[in-house]
Amino acid sequence: MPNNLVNNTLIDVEVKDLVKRYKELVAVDHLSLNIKRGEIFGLLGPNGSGKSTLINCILALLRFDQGEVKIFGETMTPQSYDIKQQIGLVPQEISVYKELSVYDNIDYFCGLYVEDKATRRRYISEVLDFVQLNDFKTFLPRKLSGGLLRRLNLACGIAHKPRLIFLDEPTVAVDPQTRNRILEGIKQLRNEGSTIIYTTHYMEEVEFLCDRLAILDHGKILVSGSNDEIIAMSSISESIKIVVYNLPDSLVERLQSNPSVDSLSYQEGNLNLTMKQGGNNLLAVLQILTEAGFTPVSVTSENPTLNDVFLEITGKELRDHA
Amino acid sequence: MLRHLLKYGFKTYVRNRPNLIWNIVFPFAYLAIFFMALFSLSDTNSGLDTIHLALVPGHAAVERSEVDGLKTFLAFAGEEGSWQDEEIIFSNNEESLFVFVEGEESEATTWLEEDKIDAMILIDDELSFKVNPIRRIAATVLHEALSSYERMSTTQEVLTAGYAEGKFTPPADVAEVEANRFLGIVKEGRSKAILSEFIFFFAALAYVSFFPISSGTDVIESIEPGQSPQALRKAVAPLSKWTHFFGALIPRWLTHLLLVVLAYGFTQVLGIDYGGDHLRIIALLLLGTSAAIFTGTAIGSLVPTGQGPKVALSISLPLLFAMASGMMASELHTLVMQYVPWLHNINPLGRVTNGLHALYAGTDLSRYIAQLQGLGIYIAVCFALTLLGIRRTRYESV
Repeated sequence: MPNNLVNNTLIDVEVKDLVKRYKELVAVDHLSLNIKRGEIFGLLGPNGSGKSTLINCILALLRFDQGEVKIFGETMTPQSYDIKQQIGLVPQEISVYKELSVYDNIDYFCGLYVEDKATRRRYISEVLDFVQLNDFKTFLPRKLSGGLLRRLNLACGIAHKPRLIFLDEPTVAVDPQTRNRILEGIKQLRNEGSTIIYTTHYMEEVEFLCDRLAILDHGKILVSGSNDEIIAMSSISESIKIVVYNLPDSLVERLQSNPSVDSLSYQEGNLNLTMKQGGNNLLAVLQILTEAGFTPVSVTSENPTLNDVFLEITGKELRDHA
Repeated sequence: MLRHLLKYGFKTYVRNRPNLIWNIVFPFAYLAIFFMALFSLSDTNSGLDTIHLALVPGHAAVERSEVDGLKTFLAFAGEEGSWQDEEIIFSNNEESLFVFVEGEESEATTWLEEDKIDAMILIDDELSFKVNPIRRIAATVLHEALSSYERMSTTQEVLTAGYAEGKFTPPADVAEVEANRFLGIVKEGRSKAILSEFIFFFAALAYVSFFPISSGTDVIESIEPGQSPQALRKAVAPLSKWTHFFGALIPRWLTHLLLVVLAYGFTQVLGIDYGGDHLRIIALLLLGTSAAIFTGTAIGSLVPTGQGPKVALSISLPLLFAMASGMMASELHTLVMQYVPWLHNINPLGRVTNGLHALYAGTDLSRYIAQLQGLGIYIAVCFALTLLGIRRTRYESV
């Protein structure tokens, strides 16, 4: 999903040859990564794959054994307050104070970054609109549903308008409506100029949101790139099924000789094609049929998904580990 | 920025329901229950009702000195009543264990039957008494008192005979001793005698002052990324860990300093007598509470595990220290001093207990000041351990 908001020349996060060990276990194994300004970058991986460790290393929370982390071109340390000023974190666990109202929670966390009260009030008002919690601003968190809590958790991490936002599975255990609202909100954040690092177990979220993604397992990046690039790397092919009657042998042979077609069978009006690589060959096949004067009765096409690719690469079902 | 942290630090702390119950309501409830359960120990009459007596010389030949001797003895824990308009007038002094009048046997029997007195004592060659059947407790107390009197009289007679026979050298004021055989016992002895029991009250107040260890562990939990999700979020903010530390510490610390002063005020409302040196007592309690808070911060920073071990330490340490200070059994205080002196020396709760005792019964302030110094050193050590524990800003795991 190429996006003209992504600045290909500016790198906001640069990770070089990062190694983090927990005694015998190598949690991050010589990992290198660049995240461009203005992109939504997805980190995918099963539990224990090293996603959270990688994020904590990037945020200078964890001591690592080797490598370098730069944010906005500067080396990241626990004392890099200028960099931290421009970072927002939305942890997976709900990280709000149950004793404070929705408004006070946002004010508290925003106040760690923004001292001026008037500016803060404006930011809080904007973020309340953004996550649609205006009607609940005096509520205590225990009065909120799971979905509203997730939105509050998000609001507390982004109210100060950070340039770089880390979102750690922000849609876990929310209803589809809230999830869609959060995903649309994240896109809006990117449209407003933020760079977003997004970890999730939900493949469809990555496909919907991310400009680029990396699939991690055992502390290593197995593949990275855009959705299409990653799907194209897969050996799994597109499968096309067309119901069309009375095809002459010459036309079947013409289709068979198409360089994209891997295999073909035609029996009793069922034309089954398996394409060689990647997806989106359907239009080309249909064009050949219509030019020859045949109208299909029905058409189905199954493209490989990221989930298929993930399964192929890691040998694991992502959701099963969520 | 610190103001922002303090504002929300206070808000989150005082609105937290477990804190409210555990750290704020519990100490007051504890003091009230402790007071109700053990207040009789601080009562100089040990909670006994005044016993009304008639003294009846058994026959005319009974020596006057025998009657007077018994009166003197009883007056040690009471006073003599009087006649007025054919009625016996007894004192309403609640401090008196005994009030008594002298009368004929027939009169005394009538008074007993009319429930005007609790018992009559017949003074003959031997002492005997009759008790109002509905006042059985009076019989027990009277039996003990008269037995003591008999023993003292016998001892006195033996000593007097010994002086007369030249077996002992009589003291210079033997005549005065003869005249008042209970002169050697001073009334103040009774109040001194209950001091060892009063250690319960000193230790109980010290326990309340040293109670809020969990608030100290909370401080660390709120700033260490591995210990709470809110702390993880704070660790990414552009503030130093020290700012977060003091932002979390000061609201909790000040709240508990205020609470311990209120708790002391509550004891005064309840009527528990700690000697009346309020300012010095409050200074001692403030240091005790500070010691608890910094014990908590030291535990929180040096035991970076889950809640369980910290909660266990927060509950068990004050109880251990309180036990060693004599809150459960006053003898333990002495035993710990004798056999586990190091525990006695480091025990901050014990120092508060000792300080309260020193103010109550001491003749100068040297012992009290020594407790303040000990607490000061304890707090400094805990603070240093806390700083050592929270100095890290990058973690092995979070």
